[in-house]
Amino acid sequence: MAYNSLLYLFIFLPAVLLAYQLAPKNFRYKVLLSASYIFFLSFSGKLLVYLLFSTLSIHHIGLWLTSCKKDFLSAAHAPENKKAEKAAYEAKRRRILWFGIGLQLSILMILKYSGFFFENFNLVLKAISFPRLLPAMKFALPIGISFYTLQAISYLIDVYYEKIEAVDNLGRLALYLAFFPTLLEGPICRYSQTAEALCQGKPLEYKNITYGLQRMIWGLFKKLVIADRLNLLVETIFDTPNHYGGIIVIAGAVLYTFQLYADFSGCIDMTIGTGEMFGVTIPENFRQPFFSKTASEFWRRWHITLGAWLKDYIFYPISLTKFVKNLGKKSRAKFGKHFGQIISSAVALFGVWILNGLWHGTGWNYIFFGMYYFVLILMGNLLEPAVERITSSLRIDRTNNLYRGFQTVKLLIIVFTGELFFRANNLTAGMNMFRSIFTGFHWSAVTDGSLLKLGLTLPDFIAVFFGFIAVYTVGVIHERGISIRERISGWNVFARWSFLYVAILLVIVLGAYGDGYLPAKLIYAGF
Amino acid sequence: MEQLLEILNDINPGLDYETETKLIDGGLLDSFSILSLIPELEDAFGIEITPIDMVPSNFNSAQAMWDMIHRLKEE
Amino acid sequence: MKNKNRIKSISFLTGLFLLLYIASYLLIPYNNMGDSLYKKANGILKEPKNTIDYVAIGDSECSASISPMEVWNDYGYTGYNCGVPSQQLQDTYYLLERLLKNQHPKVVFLETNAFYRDFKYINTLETSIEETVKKIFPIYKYHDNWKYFHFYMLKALGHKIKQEQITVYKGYQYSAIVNPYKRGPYVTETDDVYVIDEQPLLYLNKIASLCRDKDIQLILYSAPSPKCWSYAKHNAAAAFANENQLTYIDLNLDIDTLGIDWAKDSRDDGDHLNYFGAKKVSDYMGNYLSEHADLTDHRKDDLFAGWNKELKNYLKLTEQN
Repeated sequence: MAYNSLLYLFIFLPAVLLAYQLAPKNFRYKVLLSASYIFFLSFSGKLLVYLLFSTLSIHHIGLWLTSCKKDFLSAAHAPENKKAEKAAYEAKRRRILWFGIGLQLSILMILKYSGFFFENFNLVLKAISFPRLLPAMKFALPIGISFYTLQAISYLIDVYYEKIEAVDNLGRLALYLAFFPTLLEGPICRYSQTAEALCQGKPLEYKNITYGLQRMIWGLFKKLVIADRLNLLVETIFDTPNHYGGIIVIAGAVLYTFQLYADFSGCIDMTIGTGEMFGVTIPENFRQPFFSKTASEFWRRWHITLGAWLKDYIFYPISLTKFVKNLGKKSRAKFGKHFGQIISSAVALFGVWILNGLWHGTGWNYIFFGMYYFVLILMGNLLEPAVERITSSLRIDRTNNLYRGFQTVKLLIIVFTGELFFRANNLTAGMNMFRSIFTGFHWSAVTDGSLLKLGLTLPDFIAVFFGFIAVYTVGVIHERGISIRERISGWNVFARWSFLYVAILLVIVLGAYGDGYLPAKLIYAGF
Repeated sequence: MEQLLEILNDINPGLDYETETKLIDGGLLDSFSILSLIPELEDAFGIEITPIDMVPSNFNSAQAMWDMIHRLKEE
Repeated sequence: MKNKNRIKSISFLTGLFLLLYIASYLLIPYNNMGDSLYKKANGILKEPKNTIDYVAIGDSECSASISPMEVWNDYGYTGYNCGVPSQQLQDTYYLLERLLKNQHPKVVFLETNAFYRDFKYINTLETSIEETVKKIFPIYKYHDNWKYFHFYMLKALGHKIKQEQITVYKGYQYSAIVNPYKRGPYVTETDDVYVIDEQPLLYLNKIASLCRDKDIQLILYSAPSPKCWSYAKHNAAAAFANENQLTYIDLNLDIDTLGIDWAKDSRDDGDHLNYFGAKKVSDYMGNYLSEHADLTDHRKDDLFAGWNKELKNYLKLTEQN
């Protein structure tokens, strides 16, 4: 039952809220846990075993790390052995950690990536005329595996670095992994961010519920009015990649980006809104990403929790290994501070982007997507001092609006192109579509009505435009740090209720659901 | 401390390191600047920075960095 | 929750429900128009009341196999193809229920492919909830009609775009694409039975009982499809037909009588028929109707003049290709 289904909104969620409130304080987290497992079962049934396995294994490993430390501290150490014993202890802890991480990753890799791996290995085998081929594998993936696996790994690493204490209570750890609003599309939370609020059993509060509901209405608006409506057009264009070119493909890339943003951020709004209703603060995942000026900034504002996860658990750890540190020293000595730094950071950066691409899906177009941003960001860092020199010598003020406008247009082109490849059926289709923008370019496509033959009528486009205005306005308000809900709560009853009624009606009337629309799944739940 | 401030201004000029307390949380120092900072700090103060230290609270202000440097020196 | 908050919530919700009712009545009057592939099944709702003699329901195997204009051409029976690609049996049931409010066909052809498309109980639950909400709050169903508010603006636009040739006739989407099926005979007798799962079976029974209640002759049929059909599936459908005293026409066993030529009659390598295959099936079905059902030839009836007009356009379309 997706977050935007009637079953979830009008039966499941109210039931959980009621059960939660009626339960005694210490029992409330168990209500949430049961609800989460019921939610999970409704999607993936028996595949629950994978989630349970992950939960049990990280619980065990966490406690193992703790007992390992206890043993070391309580044992008597002769002074001459201390250093060696400490090294052995640390090596042991590292082995336990890698074992735990390995367990989580192997499940994910086998279920999600073995098919892709076998497929490509078979291409190699065919090329060398090897007589036998590997079987085609396709496993059913449990819902949310890409998200909860990352959460599980973050827990293990945080325990290892002693940022948090290993959790004794299996139920609390289980709830951290399985909390139903974050199960489908994240955000990827750290144990220290959500666990306490999840388990403290705070009673429901009127303000939390109303604020949460309002946030959910906004999320529903984005998902139903914008994303699901654009789905028709986007599918039409991307399902027959060789059929279109020029402006139509550009429209496809642009509108897909808008659809993706509305879908993902809309779903996250519903997630965070639901969390709010239970008094749980779930971290933000978006911060007006299209107001960014550079690709690096974009990835600090889009899918924030994934970027943060990659930064904390891939980027820094790799950058701080002896190998990379030495590489850095040597490169700086040889190529100077700036270039040397770029070279050594490229190692960790490569790791981040190959994983970012692969995490999103199995396909060469996803790897391409990751490498595309790797190159762009690396180039951006590389050229930064040169750009600084050029603009200051040309007396160009980089803070004035014209320059910032130029940066925005540049950023948008980068993002739209990236998303074109991201959405394309495969890398070849992506390349063809990209090429066709230039080879099939006709200005006439704007006026000859071909945009109206893609599945959307003129009223649909008007609705999308209206949605765009709404999203842009909210973005500007949020960029200024103003909380819309706080403002609304300050209005008088008549104004407030009218505003909310209109909002709800707009979602119901303009929503792209029902007969005549393709049932649109949540995009990121597929990753 | 002056040495620290010198290094910071060299890597990422234009920020007021004496008073700013939200270098990380406010997005003023990005991960690349941090990465450039680390080898400088390690060399200048003879410390070793590991992933455990990579938390915002250690880098949000010049004072926080200074405290971290001292802590690491003692180990 | 404090009492003040409780009162606030209840009043807010009451106001909301009132508003939804008012909004429903603003949007219902406009008819559901539109010709996208997914809406064509609802095209039958446009037809004047009680004018359709037979309907065909099911998934894409249905929508690709019966062209009502062929039957009209040969026998003057009015029919509609309400097949919807990938449709699950429960949606087929609800569609039938809906169309039976406006029409009283004497015969319903139910294609069997969807019997073997399983869906989970949760989908059933979700759909039942949606259907209930649609009944209580009409706005949930007709919300899309806001598009037709600007009637005149749309009409003007519609004229410009309508130069597009119509390829959907009484629910049948014309396709002359030829993608031959080359793998030879596919009918191998077996005793295996492809068991129909619980959820589809539930709705199959509901469809059967709905037709029984309304005194409609329900005929199961399997369109020729080497890709989708199997003898085991035949056995399951035949068993059901037997238990419920229904006719089951399995066209896969009649390929030669039908005259199906797999080199010319499929549009996608044996998954679906194209126009050439559909014509043969439609002729067969028309003939079946003339011998086993008590339908009237409406070709000379003025009330059905619109059908003759459409036939002219249809013949132009199909003879050009």
